[in-house]
Amino acid sequence: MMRKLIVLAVAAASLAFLPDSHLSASTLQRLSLTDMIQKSTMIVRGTIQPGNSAALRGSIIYTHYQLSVTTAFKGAPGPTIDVAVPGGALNGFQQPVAGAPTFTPGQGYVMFLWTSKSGLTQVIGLSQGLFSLTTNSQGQLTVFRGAASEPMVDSSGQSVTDSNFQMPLARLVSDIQAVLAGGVIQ
Amino acid sequence: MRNRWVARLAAFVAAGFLLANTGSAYYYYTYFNSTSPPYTPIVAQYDLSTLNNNTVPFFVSSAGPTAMYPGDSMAAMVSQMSAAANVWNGVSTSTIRLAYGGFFNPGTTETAPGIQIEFSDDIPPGLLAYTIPTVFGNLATGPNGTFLPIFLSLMELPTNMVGVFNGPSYSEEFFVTLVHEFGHCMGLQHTLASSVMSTIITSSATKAVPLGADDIAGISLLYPTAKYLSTVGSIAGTVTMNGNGVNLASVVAISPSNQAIATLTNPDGTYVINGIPTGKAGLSYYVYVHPLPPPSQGEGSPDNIYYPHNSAGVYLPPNTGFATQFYPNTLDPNNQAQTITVTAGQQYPDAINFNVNPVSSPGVSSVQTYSYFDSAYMRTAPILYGQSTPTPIAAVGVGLVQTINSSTGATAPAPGLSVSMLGTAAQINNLRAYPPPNQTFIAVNAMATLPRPGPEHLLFSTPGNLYVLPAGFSIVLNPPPAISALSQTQDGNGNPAVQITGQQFTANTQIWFDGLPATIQSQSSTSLVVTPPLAPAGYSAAVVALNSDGQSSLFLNPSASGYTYAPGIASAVAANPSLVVSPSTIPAGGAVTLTVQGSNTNFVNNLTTVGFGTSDVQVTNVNVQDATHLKVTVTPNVSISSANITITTGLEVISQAVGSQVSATDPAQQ
Repeated sequence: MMRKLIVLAVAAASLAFLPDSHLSASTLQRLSLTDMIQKSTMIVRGTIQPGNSAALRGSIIYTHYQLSVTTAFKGAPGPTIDVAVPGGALNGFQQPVAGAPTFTPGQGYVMFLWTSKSGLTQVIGLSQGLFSLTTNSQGQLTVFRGAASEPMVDSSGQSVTDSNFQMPLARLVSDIQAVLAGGVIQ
Repeated sequence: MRNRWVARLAAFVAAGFLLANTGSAYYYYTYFNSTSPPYTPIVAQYDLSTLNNNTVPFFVSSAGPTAMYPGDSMAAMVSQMSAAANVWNGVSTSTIRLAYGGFFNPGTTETAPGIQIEFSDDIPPGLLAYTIPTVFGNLATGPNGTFLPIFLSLMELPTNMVGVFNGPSYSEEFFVTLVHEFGHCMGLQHTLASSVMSTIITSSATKAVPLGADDIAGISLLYPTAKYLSTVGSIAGTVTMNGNGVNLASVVAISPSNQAIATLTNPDGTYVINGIPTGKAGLSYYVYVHPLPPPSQGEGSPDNIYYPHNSAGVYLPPNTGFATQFYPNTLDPNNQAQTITVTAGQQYPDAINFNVNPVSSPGVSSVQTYSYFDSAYMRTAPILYGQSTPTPIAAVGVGLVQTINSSTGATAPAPGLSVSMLGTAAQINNLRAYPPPNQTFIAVNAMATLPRPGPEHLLFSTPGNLYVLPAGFSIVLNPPPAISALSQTQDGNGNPAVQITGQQFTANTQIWFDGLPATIQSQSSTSLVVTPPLAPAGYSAAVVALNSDGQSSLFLNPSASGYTYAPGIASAVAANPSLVVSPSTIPAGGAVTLTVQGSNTNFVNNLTTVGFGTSDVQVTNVNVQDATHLKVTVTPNVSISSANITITTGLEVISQAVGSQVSATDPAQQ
């Protein structure tokens, strides 16, 4: 049966191009900043180098980017980190994964990274651990990410987790240091 | 395996589109075989003609998770997976079925359609699960037109389950996620109707009532029974902005007493909402259009939708820069919107067209709600009818608040924001923001005025725009069920049984032991006598009560009561079962009947299932002779170097390698 299917596919080769063969959908669990600090294996500031490469891992394509590290806030990475993103293009076919992070070479980022037991390093929570670095009107370096996290609240409106999504880099660094020291974010 | 996959994928790329079909776009994985109008959607779906009894087998990796919550087990997890699959099997208007096919060995490749559930250590925190349907490029033509066959769907779950889901495999979150991912496996994308195929942000699905009307319509339109389309109605039209068609606008049929049914527009703005429930005499709906929301945290596209693409391979992103609009051209559905009466088997005769207005700000979107009851916040925001005091509903999402004190972070509701509901089943008032550190939340008070149980729809109005949250809260007539104690007892016939003491048990209450329902023998509002499903002695099951209003005993106490099958008590069967399968070699070609002799087994006709962990060995019949003997007929279609036989009876799962016992049958492969 397998052979027959391949024959059928090749027979259709002269027709319109099918740009992808995998379709993805994901279920996300929103992470608070505290969650990301605690669950990441590395937190770094750096820039993405131009170019990337793709490789098949099991039956899933990962696109690999090289992150030049300027500062490490957690972990002890080398000068560059191989950051894998699920999905990509390989051997003429594409495998897009909805929700996967996208990088701009040369753009500064703070990344919350997570390395699996088998050694694959990814941004935590698909795109949740990816913060762009910008300079605000006061000249402060600021980290930015799309939207808020999802804390639960109690009857008095108190509790659980923070929901920061934009803050000065210096504040983020102090929050990281506080959580890593066993404290809480103020 | 890698080389085989590369060969397969390369073949996919070389393929293309052959024919047109006549189906309507929905929220499927959609392709267009042209680059200009008219756009005829081609969607990805399983080819039922290649399946045995329209059934897609799903297989679970024998590697299993590396870590589970205390008390959890692989058998319990598999029972929840089967229960989640059965949710879809319960859609009577859909023909597709899912069935557990046993454990597969990692690296197993399939040549027949199936679903593999894997536990991966490459899933980072913040990602619960994801599914990748794999499609062949060669198109197929079925009774409903041309489609792109799904060959294999990969459901990826984290190998370390602890701390990922909000509890063990019996939890609300794990179960709803499984139902959601199975929907993706079969070809459903995300929707914005707050049903199980919505993203987790707006989903109102629960373990007790996972599917919404939109889910049922979605799967039934993809795999319709012969009479389905004659039982539902449809609405069609076009969405334009400045004279141009709007792509991927979400068009929704909704009413105060009916759940939302949604679809997405084609690139030229045309749409058809099909599968709308009509009842016998027809039902009236409002129709509105709204943009896909901006990507939320962690999302790479609006609503994490996988964009359709055209025959040139160009992805077609959504137009999102417009304001919501109810038909005809109003933001006030309760007073100015026109109802559309939909009748069975017919499309509404007039086109319901929208000319939407551009906006520069996306406004409110991606709102998640909770209600507060008995010291707990609850997803799906149920509010109890008949209360003397209102119930707070908390909401978090994009565009709900404005910062009023930058030093403290204090917020107020966004300028001009008001919160109301569609219809009059509840009073909504007292909008306010929470103080720091929860300043991203707002809250309103809600008090039900009608004893009409079910989902209700929230309206978030801002100047010039409107956000509708279908099933933003629900009205319930009773609090959630609760289980306080389990004890041994006897049923009316003197057989061993379990007495469950608690509250809010109704005639429709189900009691689940892990993923299987118990048989209810007698019932009162505070006590149930049940016969548990079979399980081996020593097995520990989580016991959960599920009510038909969508609430479960996990709402107020996420830790389920435990029941251990001690030897000799109700439904406990012998432990340490084993199997002998003969013949040891399956002769080539055609159907083969295997004899299975068990030791310490409890096979039961119509209950015991058999699988071989691969779609290449189709099980066509299981005939139980007695508790320790059964015959299973299989039709293997390729040679299998190794396989597992998995026999499931109740909560007893027996799996062992059959290795070379299943061997070459296809001369072409030799």
